[in-house]
Amino acid sequence: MGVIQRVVKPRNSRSKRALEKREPKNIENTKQCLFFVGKKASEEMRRCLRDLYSLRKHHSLHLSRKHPDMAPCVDILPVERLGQKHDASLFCYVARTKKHQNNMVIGRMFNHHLLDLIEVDVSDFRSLAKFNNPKGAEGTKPCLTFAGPGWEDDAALRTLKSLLLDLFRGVEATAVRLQGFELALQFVAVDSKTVLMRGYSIHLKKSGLRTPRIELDLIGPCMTLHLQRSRLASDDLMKRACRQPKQVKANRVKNISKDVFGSRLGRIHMTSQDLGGLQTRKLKGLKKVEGGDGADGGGGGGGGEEEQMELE
Amino acid sequence: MGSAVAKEDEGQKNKTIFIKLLNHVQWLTFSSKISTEDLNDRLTALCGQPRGATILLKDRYGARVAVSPTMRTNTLHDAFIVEMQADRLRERGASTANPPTRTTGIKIKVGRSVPSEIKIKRKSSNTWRRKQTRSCCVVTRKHQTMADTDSSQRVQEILTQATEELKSIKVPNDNQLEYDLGNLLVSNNNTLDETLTRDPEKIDSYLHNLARDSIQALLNRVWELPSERIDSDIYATLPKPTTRLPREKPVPKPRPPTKWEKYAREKGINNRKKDKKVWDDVLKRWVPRFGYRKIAAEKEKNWVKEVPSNADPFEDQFAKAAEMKKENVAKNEFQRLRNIAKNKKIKVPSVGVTGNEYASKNELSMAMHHAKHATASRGKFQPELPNEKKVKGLGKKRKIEFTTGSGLVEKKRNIEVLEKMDKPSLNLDGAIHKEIRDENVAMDLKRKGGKVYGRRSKMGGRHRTKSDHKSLKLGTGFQGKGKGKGKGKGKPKGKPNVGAKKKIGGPKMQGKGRPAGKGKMKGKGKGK
Repeated sequence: MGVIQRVVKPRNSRSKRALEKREPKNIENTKQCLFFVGKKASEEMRRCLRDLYSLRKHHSLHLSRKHPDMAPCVDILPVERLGQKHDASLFCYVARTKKHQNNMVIGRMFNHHLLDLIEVDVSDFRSLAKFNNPKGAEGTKPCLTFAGPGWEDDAALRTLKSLLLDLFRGVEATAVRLQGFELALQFVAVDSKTVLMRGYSIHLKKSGLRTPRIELDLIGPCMTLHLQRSRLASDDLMKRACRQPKQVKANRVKNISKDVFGSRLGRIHMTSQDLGGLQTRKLKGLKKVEGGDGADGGGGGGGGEEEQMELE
Repeated sequence: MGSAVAKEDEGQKNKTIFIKLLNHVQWLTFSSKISTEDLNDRLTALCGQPRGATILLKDRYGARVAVSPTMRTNTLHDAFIVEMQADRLRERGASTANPPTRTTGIKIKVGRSVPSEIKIKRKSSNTWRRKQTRSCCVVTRKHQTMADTDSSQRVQEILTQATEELKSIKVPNDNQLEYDLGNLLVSNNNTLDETLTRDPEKIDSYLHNLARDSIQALLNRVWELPSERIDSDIYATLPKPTTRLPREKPVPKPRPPTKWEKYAREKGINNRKKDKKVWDDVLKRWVPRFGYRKIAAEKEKNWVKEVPSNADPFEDQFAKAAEMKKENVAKNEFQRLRNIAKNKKIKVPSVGVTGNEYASKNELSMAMHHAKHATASRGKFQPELPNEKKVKGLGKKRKIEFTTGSGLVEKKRNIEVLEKMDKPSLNLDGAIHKEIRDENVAMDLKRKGGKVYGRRSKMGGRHRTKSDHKSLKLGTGFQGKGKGKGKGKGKPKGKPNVGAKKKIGGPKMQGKGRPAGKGKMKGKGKGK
């Protein structure tokens, strides 16, 4: 009696496409984020989760069911399984624990196994709904700003910065509509354990020049994050996770350059030639006479190993 | 003047010009002998402007018309247009004490060079643009009666007024920030102002200003990026993000070539593109290479099949062909799946049928049962899980006979038991034969020159006999020593057991595969 892992053969093109979507690729899909609630989260925390979910409306899933047995800091396996099921590599979990009323865990996974996670305690939360000013459309790519020296110095904060960037940056865009800047998120590291978050809407005003003047309007969500436990990835795991395929890396074109005038120059590498031994037209008059005449014998040009030639 | 047409009165040579004001046309008659200043005064009075103001006149084609006594006359329809701000014209007889400012049409370059269009979109872009040019390029100027002796002073005033209207996009420390334009990320690594961050009242505004400056610096850079215009929208091309973020999944490994691909590469066989249709000479038409039409065409062609000479005449050749095809398809499918399995490193047996992907409940619990048995040792057993269920179907199967029906089987069994009981306990014949055999064996050995070993030999009593082995095979354990408890399943090697002599009392035993015997017995007795 052997349990052999069966080869999954997709039965129709739809299932085949679904399988292909989940495969590892050279250029990856945007990461999916799971927002879910754990044990007994307070109303405020649930609203906080909803607000974060709306900031990343696309490419995220808000699970409606409560998961009372989950504790990502203790046992990450159920979270990994959830991630595998929904093909999500980011997660944001909210719960209430004995020590902390407003507990939130943000984490990400590599190949459906935990990469790193950070547990924070949320305080002074002001929801999006509290601010009455008009907010931008959902799903816009926000401008992110991190202030404070801690983001570079502290290891946990460095991971948190990377996590927040992953969480809020949205789609990796190649071009952006200049009129479309609507959202700005600010994360301030007051000290190595406290981070303040603010959300603004961007208004472009006349400035007399091409570049507009920016005016910000506080729209929320605003919160203070106090860092608690964290599980950071080991160096080599992070290295492995950050590895990019060769196809994505930029190809350096060798031996082609542009001169000052804009003409395209190429470089040809030659073996050294013995110009004396070249087969050329033999003109009797140019034959070398004994006694040393300074006549040139066919062939010319600069010899050597390199030659710069002008290409079309 | 009743007539609308201008005419030069004889003698006096009066001229009439028509001037188009805000929503009506006014005419002005003057003699040609009038001075320019007087003419100007009359014009300003007409337009409701203070005396010293300059009036600019344009004809309907936009050409400037000079205000002088020798200016040309015009008609009602060809009225001169006064170039002025419309609202100022309503105020006729405005007090000179508070001279109104108005545009004069002077173009001044404010700060940088101003392009003709500002690329911020509004609903009606044209009107907005016009307004913008006015506020940007056309600058207000105070009343001319002010002593404008110093032109540079005037320029200064104009500049300050202009700049006040517009807001700055400059950010003081923008070269200290780190930019990742691909991610629209800006990092400010300067230390924060502690006094402000500690103060809960001031912190919001401090953060607001901080954010505004950072975002302004970021978007300044974004606006400098190369941009393109697609359908009335301007898109800036973002560079690649510089912050390195971890991937979601590992880099995919290139698919290893299949067996066929390797062979083809070796032999140099190239894949040639096949046509969808193939010319069929028999049917004399183009037949698709695959699909139901192909099958139909085949049927058409092969309406009759020759029975080969060596084949059974009653065999259905068509059915045979169909089965061959099925086999081929199945073989192909198997090979394809085997290739996939090889890629995913799943082991598939080459012969036989693969089991089910998910074993049945019973099979799984059976597997667990066996695993538990294996892990059990020396009185320590694997603890049972809370919801674990015992396996059904283990142990010896007991056949329960019928209570009804013929009792022949039962009868037979009972008689057999009785016969056994009646049998003499001593098997005389058996014993005699055994003796004879032993003697024969001994004689043979003597003849050959070998030694005769008794039952208990020199090797310390560990000489195994056939019957000892037999009991092993029955699974009741090794009967050699002690009251064999447990299962000594290993094949015993004829090694002298050094530890057997000592250690009286105590279940501990040395050596390999010794059963955990309780016994103090040593050597004698075969056990059970």
